[in-house]
This record gives sequence, structure tokens and C-alpha cells, in this order.
Amino acid sequence: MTVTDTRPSAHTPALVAEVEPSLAQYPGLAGWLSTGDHKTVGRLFVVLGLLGGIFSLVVGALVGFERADVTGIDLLPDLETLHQQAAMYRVGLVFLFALPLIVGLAMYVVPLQVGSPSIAFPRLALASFWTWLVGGGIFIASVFADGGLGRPASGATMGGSEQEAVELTLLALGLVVIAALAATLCIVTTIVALRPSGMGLTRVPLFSWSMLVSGGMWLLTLPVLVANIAIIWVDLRGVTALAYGQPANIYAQLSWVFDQPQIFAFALPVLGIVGDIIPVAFGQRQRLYGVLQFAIGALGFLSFGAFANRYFNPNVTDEVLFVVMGLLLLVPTLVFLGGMADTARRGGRPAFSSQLVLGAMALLLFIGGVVVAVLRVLGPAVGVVREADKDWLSGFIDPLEDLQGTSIISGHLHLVLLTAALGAIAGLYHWGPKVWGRRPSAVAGIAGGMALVGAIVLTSVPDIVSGFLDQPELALAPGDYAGVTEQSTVEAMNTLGAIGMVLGVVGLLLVLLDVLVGGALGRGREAGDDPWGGHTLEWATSSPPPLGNFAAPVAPVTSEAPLIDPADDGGAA
Amino acid sequence: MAATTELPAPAPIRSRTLLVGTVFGIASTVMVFAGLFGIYLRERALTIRATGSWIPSDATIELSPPTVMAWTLILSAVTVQWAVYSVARDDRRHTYMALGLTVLFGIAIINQTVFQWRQMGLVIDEGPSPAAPLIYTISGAFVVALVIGMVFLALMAFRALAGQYSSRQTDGIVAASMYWYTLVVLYFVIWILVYITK
Repeated sequence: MTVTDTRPSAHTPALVAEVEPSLAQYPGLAGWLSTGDHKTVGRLFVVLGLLGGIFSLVVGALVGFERADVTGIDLLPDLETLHQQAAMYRVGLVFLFALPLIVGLAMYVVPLQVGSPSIAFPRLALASFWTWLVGGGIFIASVFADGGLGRPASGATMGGSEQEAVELTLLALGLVVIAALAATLCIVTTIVALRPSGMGLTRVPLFSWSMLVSGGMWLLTLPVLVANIAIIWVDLRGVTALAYGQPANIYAQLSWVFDQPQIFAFALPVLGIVGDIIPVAFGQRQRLYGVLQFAIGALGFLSFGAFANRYFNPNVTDEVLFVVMGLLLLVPTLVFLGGMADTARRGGRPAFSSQLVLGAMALLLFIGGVVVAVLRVLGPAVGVVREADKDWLSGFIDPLEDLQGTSIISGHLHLVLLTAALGAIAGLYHWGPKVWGRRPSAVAGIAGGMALVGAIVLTSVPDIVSGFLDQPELALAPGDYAGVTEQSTVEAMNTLGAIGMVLGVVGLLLVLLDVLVGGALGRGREAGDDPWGGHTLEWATSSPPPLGNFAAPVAPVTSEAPLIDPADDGGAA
Repeated sequence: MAATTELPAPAPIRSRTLLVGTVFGIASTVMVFAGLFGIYLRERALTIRATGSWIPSDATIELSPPTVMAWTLILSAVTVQWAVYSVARDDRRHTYMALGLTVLFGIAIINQTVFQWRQMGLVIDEGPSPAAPLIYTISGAFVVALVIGMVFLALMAFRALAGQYSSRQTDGIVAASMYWYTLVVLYFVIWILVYITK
């Protein structure tokens, strides 16, 4: 027997070129189907994620305009279709829009930031994209084939939904989640295992760090969603579903993914993106780097939402763990804000750029999301004080306690998830020159981004206000609005929300066009390798980077900002 | 036996990509089952409180098949460790034999699981206990995880055949074995939660 030793991967560019067939070798679709280059897969995720966002917001606008008149079903064919579309909008917002957009950006940027010539498991990364795309396509098709996720508010029967189509919707959702998990696995493994010499975890750039934290959270929480889906699907195998597969119960078992605190796990990378944009824009080294890393880590810990399943534990929102987690979210968020403010104060007047404007807006809106989270747990929290004979607080507590189960949950979902997407778009403008070698238009970026900011405000604030007017979460059937105190105000708020969705579609279209024309088609100005004076390793290679990312092996890293440490001689040689 | 002895200077950092990725994969697999177990325990407690029993009276869940499966899995843990031991000593013949036996044990587990499904007479659409969908989901999810583990082992066996793994580089076989040990531990939790304390 002959023993042939093969050396462990040294990750030299030559080796990477050998294992990763490039687009140049296989042009067009063949290249997209076979590439092992994380940059191509990342671009595919980003563009399709933007398209997924446009689709989801169009569906959201349809549902919103339907709810502009709460006395009947006018715009859509029937109540069943409204239920189906509402479910598709929520799933689309998270799994067809925000998550793939962030995953795509991370798949492109993270290996460059940590000085790796490749992503870990490049074939799995590619498979994750195609699985996500096929799963997403089947999901949409199954909903249009009378599938969906049941009738959350009422109904023990499937109504107009076909059981087989509902099963297909569940399978497709499972496929999309598993694809997201596979992509996340590649990203976090890259951060842990493929860093260059000297780059300990305390020197990982903040975006990569936030991806490690939030990716870790996704890997620990989304499998529980897979378990929920599996139980529902198995129950639907029977002639009559026993409990979990009943139409009134399907969405309830999955709703924790679209609710506090889990939504913050999806939005957490916003902090990493802003944390990389602001020090570069102000030309200042980030102080108290470890504190910011700790703040992001703490937020990740506090966004573990798999326990908060309101189907299995209806009182979970009143329980100590849920309340304390909600209250504590504010602390690391304010610490992070303080860190950014300190950098901005020291830096003076920054270079004006679309990523700075959008990043700052995303940070403020993220804080808004945390404030709403605190508001939602304030009722149960202050209720403890009331029990200690503080009746004078009742006027303050009662409206807050009544918020449980109202449309504030929907408003919160819009606020946090659309902010996650806004942060990713800020990142797209920051790293866009690196991705395409061209600068997307700053004007289009700000116009598109600000339209999205308007969309975030218009979709979230009205739902939060309607929550105070007792509009239930997922109010769709005319009977669901029975307890609403000011029906005409709620209708006006729902109309505003729908207009916000349309504004969001306009914003995303602008961004997509700008990215495609200015970036992908190469109409934008030439960017150069380091247009912003970046601090981290991705700016040490050419724009766009070659196959293998760096022309030569990355030199040992001695700080968290290797490109502004000439004495350290960091960066790619 | 001929061996390639003159290799260039070693790479500066030895990447542990596969091991790290496997650890993350194991964490996710464990969380799927953690979710299932949590729901199972809660639903069982509530159902017993409400109706006094968990398993429907017309279903018979024997302990023997799960116990045989548990012993089979203990044997497979031995064989998968045998593969790790052999590849670390460049004993390829025993590595292939041990990996093959482990996959065979996996097939035996699937066979026994299907046998038990047919034997126990647990029907999903008969209330009032929701035991049936939960027991089928947990045992079915374990079969899926087992198939993933078997594919992982087979892939690593093919890579070993291609000469990628030896005493200098055992990561692939070690990673697959780590996933397999996790499955063994998970099955013991299932054995206790579902089949013993029913």
C-alpha cells in the first residue's frame, strides 16, 4: 500500500485557484452554478435579497391597503388569501430579504476582513445560495397554490387553504432556514478558523465580530424553528391534525422568530456595519474596542429568542426572563452608541458619504427598536411595583400592560427587520467599491436609503400607535377588530403603513438600480483599492479582489486596525 | 510500503476548518433536538395532568427495539473510534473496515426504527394525546441526523481512499466521529425521555 501524504491546506492563492473554479473559466450561468468564489455567491445573495425585499414589500403593501378598511375584504379575493399573503409577507421580510441581504454582504466581506483567501466550505456556501433560492421559489409558489401558514386568529379547518400546499409551504420554509444555516456555518467558521497569524478574536473587525455573534445565535436558535416546522409537518401527515398542524396553531408556533427578542439577532450585524463605517468616515481609530465587542456580544446573548414561544407558553411575555432580557437590551445598545459618539466627537467633520448617513440612521433606528422592546416589557416590569401598593402608577401601567398581543408586535417587526436591511444597504455602499471596483452613486444611495428610512417610520409607528388603540396583532378578518377603540384612526394608521411599504419598494428599487448600473455594469466612477481610507484588511487588496483575495499571503496582524498602524507593518504585503 | 517523506516546509498555520465547522454543525443539531425535547416534555406533562396518560391505550411502545438500538449505537461508537485510531496510525485497511461497519450499524438503526414504527400502532389522527406526532418527529429527526452522519462518514471514507487523511492529517475522520458521538449521546437522551419514562 502506498502512503501519500497531503499537506494540510496552506491557503495560498495558487491552492485556492486550484480548488475554486472561477467565473472566468465558466462564464454566465455555468459559472454561477459551479463557482467556489465567495465573492460571486455573496453578490448573488445581495442582488436576490434586494429583489426578495421588493417582492415582500409589495405583498406587505397589498395586505396593508386591504387593512385600510377593516369592515370587509375588498382588495384581495377572500380572507384566506389575506391570511396567506400576510404570512408570506412576514416570512419574506425575514428570510427572503433581511437575512439573505446580510448573509450576502457577510459572505463577500468577512473573508476579506479576516484576511482569508477563501470562505470556509466554498461549495457549501454555493449550495446554500441555490438551496435558498429554490426553497424561496417553492415557498412563494406554494402560497399562491393556496398554501400558507394557516389562519392564526381563528379557524379549526383549513378554510380555503389546501393541506398539501400548506405542507409544501412548511417544507419550503424549512429548506430556506436550512440554507440560511448552511451559509451562516460557512461565515462563522471562516471567522473562527481562517484568520491570519496575529488576528486574535479581539482584533477581528466589528462587522465580522457581529457576524460571529449573530451567526452563532442563528445557529443556536433557527434549528429550534426547524424543530417547530418538523412537528407541524408530521402532525399534518395524519388525516386530521391533532394540535400542531391545526390552522389556528401553525403560525403561533413559528411566531417567536418574528418577535422580540429574536428579531434583534437578525438586526445585530447593523451594529458591526456601523462600527466599521463610523471610525473610517471620521478618520479615527476606535477606542475601547473590547468594550464595543462586549456590547455586541451581550446584545447577541440577549437576543436568544427560541424560548419565547407563545404557543407553548402563552404567559412568556410576562415572565421574569423575558422582561429582564428586554430591559437589559438598552444597556449594551447605549454603550455602543457611546463608543460611536466618542469616535465622532474626536473626528470632527467627517467625509460626507451615503454609507455614513444611512449607517447613522440605521443606528438611531436600531436604538428606536430597543426602546420599543423596553416599552413592551415595561408593563409587566412596573406591574411588580404596583403589586407593592403603588396604585398611583395604574394610569401609567395599564396602557402598557394592554399592549401585549397588539399590533405593536408587527410595528416592532417592521422597525427592527427593515432597520437590519437599511444597515446592510449602508454596508453595501461602504463595501460596494470593493465589491465592484466602482463607486455606486452617493445621491441614489442616499435617496434610496432615505426612502427606506421613511418606510421604516411609516410601517412601524402607525402599528405601534394602533397597538395603543387595541388593534390585535395579525388583525385580518373584520371580526378581529371588535375590541379596537378608535376604528377610523386604526384605518388611517393601516393606510399609512401601506404607503410606507410602497415607499420602501421605491427605495429598494433605487438602491437595486444603482447597485446594478453603478456597480455591476461598471458605470460608476472608478473606486481605487481604498477609497475611504479603511482600517481593516479588506482595503489592502485590489478592488475587486482577485481570486484568492490577496496577491500575497497576509502579514501577521498586530492590532484591530492593521492599515492605520504603519509601525505594526500590518496588512497584506 | 512506500511513503512520501520529503515534503516542503510545513504551512505556518494548520487550519482546523473542518473541525470548527463540525462543532458548529453539532451545536445546531443539538439545538434541533433540544427544541424537540423541550416541547415533548412540556406537552407530556400537560397531557398527563389533563388526562392521566400520555401514550394512547391502543398503542404499544416496546422497550426492546430502542434498547437494541442503544446497544447498536454503543457498538458503532466503538467502531468509529476504531477508525480514528487506525487512521492516526496509517492503518488504512482497518480505517475503511471500521468506517464501513459504522455505516452498517447506522443502516441497522434505520431498519430497527422503521420496524418499531410499524410495530407500535401509534396513529397521528387519533386524540386526545398529541404523543404520536411528537414521537414520530423525534424518532424521524434522529433518522435524518443519522443519515447525515452516514453521508459524512462515507464522504470522509472516500477522501481517505483518495489519500487525504493519514497520521499527519486526521481532521476529516475525527470530525465525522465527533458528529457520530453526538448522535449516540442524543439517542441515549431519546431512549430515556421517550422510551423509558413514558
